Amino acid sequence: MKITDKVIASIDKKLERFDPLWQADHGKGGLRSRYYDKTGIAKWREWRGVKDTLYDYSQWLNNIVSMVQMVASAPIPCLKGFWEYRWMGSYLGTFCFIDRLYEGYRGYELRIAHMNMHAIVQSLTKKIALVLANDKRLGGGPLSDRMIPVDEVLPPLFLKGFKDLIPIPLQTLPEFIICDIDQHIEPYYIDVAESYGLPADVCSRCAAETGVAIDDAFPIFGKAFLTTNMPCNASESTSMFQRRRIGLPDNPVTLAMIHNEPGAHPYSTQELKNAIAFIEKEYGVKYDWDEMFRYAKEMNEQNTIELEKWDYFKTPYSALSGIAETLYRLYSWASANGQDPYFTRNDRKVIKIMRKAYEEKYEPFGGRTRHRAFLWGPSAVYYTDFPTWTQNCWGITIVLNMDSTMGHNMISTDDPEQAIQDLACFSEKAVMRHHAVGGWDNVNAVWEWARNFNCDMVLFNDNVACKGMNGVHALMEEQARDLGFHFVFIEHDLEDSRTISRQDMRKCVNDYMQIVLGEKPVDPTLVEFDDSDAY
Amino acid sequence: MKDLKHLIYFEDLLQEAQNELVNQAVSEGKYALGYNCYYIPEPLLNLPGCFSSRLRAPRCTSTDVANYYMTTRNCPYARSILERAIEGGYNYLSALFGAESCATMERAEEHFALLKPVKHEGFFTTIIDPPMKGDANNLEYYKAQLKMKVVDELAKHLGVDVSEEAMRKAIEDHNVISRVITEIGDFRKLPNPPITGYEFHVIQLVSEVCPHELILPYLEETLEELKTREPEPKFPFRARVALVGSEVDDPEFTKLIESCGAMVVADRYCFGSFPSREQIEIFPGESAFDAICRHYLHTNQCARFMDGMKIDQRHREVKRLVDEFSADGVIYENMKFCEFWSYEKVLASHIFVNELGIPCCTIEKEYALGAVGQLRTRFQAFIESLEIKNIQGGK
Amino acid sequence: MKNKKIKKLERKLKREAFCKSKKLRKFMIFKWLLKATGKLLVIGLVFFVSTFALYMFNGENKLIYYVIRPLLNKHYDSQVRDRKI
Repeated sequence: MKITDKVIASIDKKLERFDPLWQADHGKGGLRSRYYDKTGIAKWREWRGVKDTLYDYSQWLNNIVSMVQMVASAPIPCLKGFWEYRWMGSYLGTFCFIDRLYEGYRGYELRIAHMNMHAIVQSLTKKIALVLANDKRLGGGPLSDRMIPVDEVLPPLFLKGFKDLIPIPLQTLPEFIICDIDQHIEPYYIDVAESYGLPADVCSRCAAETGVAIDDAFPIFGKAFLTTNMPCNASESTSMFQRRRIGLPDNPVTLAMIHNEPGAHPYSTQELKNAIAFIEKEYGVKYDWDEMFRYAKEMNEQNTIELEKWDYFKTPYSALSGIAETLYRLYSWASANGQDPYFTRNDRKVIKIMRKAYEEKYEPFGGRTRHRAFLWGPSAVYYTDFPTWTQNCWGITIVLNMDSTMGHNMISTDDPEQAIQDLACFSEKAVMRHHAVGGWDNVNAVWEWARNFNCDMVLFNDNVACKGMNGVHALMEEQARDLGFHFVFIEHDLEDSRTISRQDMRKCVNDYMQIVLGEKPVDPTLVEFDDSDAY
Repeated sequence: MKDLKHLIYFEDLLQEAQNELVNQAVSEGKYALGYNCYYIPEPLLNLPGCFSSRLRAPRCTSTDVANYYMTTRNCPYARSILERAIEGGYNYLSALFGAESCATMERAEEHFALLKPVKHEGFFTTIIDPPMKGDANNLEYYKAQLKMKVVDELAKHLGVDVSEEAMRKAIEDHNVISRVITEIGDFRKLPNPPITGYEFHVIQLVSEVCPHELILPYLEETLEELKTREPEPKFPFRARVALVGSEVDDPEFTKLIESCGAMVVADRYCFGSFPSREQIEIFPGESAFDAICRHYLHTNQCARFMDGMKIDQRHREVKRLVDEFSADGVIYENMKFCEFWSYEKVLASHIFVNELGIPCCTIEKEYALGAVGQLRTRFQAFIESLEIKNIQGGK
Repeated sequence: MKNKKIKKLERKLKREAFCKSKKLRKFMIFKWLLKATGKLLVIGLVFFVSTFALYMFNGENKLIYYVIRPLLNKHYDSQVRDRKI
């Protein structure tokens, strides 16, 4: 082994000039040096040293295998799907996406990042294959009428009590995840909605959903549709268009908006019960609590591990941070939501690595972290790798973000009445709901979170169309001043990259770091660059 | 037509939220209870010793301070209310009963609690979580919210009598004023009404912003006056329209439409009489509070409701108004940055035009009447199209 | 006597031939495995070199960005969708 290590070390030494991190440290380039201008396409992949490059390569192969499996499991529907749906074409940008997310990652953080990403890739590819294979528009399949289209923001865990039914978040594939991958796809659908008179100042995520509905680009499956009021006003409104287009009996699951009051929970609990009764009626099946408990155990374990992760996040020795944490938590909670045991197994492996890294006092990103930031507010979907950029450019580690603090209460696994109440509490704190809406105390909780996680900085995602967040602008700024946090508004337009580009978002941080803090960038090549034509 | 005796007086009352009658009631020891939204039932704010004051910000053209707090990318109504509060325009209020009817409204109401702009001793703010569907579960939640954040708070902070008898009396009083307003409004159904849409708008607004007890005699007098008022020899407008949509509390907007040639015969918008001036009926065995909650849940036309039944109800209600008031078309407006009504407008105008055969003109407006030239052009073009349709339809 | 000796010799030769064929079989199997392993190694090496080259030079993303997506986008732009509220 020693000989191998010596050989590897000598190769690394010889090739270190190709390592963009070394280049940035020595003023000979950086992470951006290897890109074609505007396109976001790299001339070559990042050289991370022998071990990390081979590891990254192996994970690239691993992800390809998942994709091949996807196509192999349903070749004709997949091809038909690519032909029929514009959004399917954008999934081809997945590898570019993964490369962007994990630029500059090495060692433990690279490993955990890829483990998390593969969990997402294997789940998503299976979901795509399942949906396309049973899409009635493409010919349907044996499971078409056993799938329940559910609004993507409604946590589907409570539906796992229907043993033979498969809840599928309807908008995730054509509207949400795909915007992470390709910043240019949702503007198309937003334009469709606006061509029918929808104003441009509404939330772009919901405008995009409306556009997908109008453009008849939702896959068709199921016998009844569950919509929701979550997280906010625009989501409620867009469901009016979707229910019309989908044309199935629908039941809006309207959980309490001011959800942090005791009086809200009985109401939300009843809403879930009503939703269950609705599905029972429409699908002619009975709810099975034992089946539900099976998945609740998975979610409980995932949340238990998540809470342990938080302890490590509070230290400088967390091998998981930034987008590797954010995207995984978002997908595993909002989409998988306890339904897939793969995520539990993944979490067990990840926490082992995190414990090891902590014991070794391993500082991720080569110890280049200068600031610890809490990311608050709804993140720009078209700039998923923003945390990676803040890390690499300015040494700002995103320790945790708002959506990672979603429902983490334990769910009873033996008492149905307690379980449904726990599920209501759990579901109320879904994506963008824990803090962006539902009362001042929720949104003002950011300072407590930032303090608890030893952050000196709060980056505030300022979705220019989010009425809830716009409404607390000055109060947030004043609080930051009073409490002594570095505070930066990151303006964005959620899913419309044309209004505020990625470069505009970077400028918000650049201006603060250069003008207010007078700091020099860790990697100067990342300060200003054009990625307007990138995915 | 001969001017209505009290019209100028009513117009004066609308120039300030803290008008003459409000001052009179406050000086008599009554509690002024502010609210923004139909989700807060008026009768609950008109219990003994209280009067309801639906908040407006007349002549508010600049919202600089509110913009600082809430940015310019939010509903101008909510910002104007906050601006007026900071300016001291609501210092007569004893409480604000808010509703999370939309995210912006909630944030504006939270600023009332956090910044404390209302300099009135003991002033407090509560915000209910309103229902989003018309079903039994939402009704129960609505009742629980109103009980906890309106009724109990009135009793606790202000010692208001919230008994069954007091609520029944409040309902009775509400029904009286509603009957008067409805009777006045029904004149608009006539082929040549003795009242204009603008005049009705003024009358409806004063009934919402002034203490009912004090404004009622004037309204009753106006009703009697209308019964004998001679209309114009010939219907002076080229078309009849229903004005539908979100927040409209400025009668000048109605005046603008009417100056373009269309009479506003029905007012289905926030601050309008549909809903708000229906009779509240207490069913046998029902408490007054339950009746109020049931009534307000059922009649509420807010675009926030997202179940199919309420969505369809909104469209049916407009159709009903178009038919009953013989409207030629609908002007569908929404306040700029209003998400609910922006979406609703797109859907509803599609349904009206393509499914119900009702001509529809959609516009977006600011809180303070601006861009008058553009609006005028839109209205004139729409009215002309209605005229042509009438001529071609042989109406 | 002579027949007995011949038969004994024949048996001895048969035994030796059998042992040789078993060893031969083993040797042949071993040789086959060696060849197969060699081939697999070569295939593996070719696979590794080609995929690693594709990976390292970002081949698949360049192909997708410059060739496949523009073609697909042309198709999507020419689609007639059933657009309605």
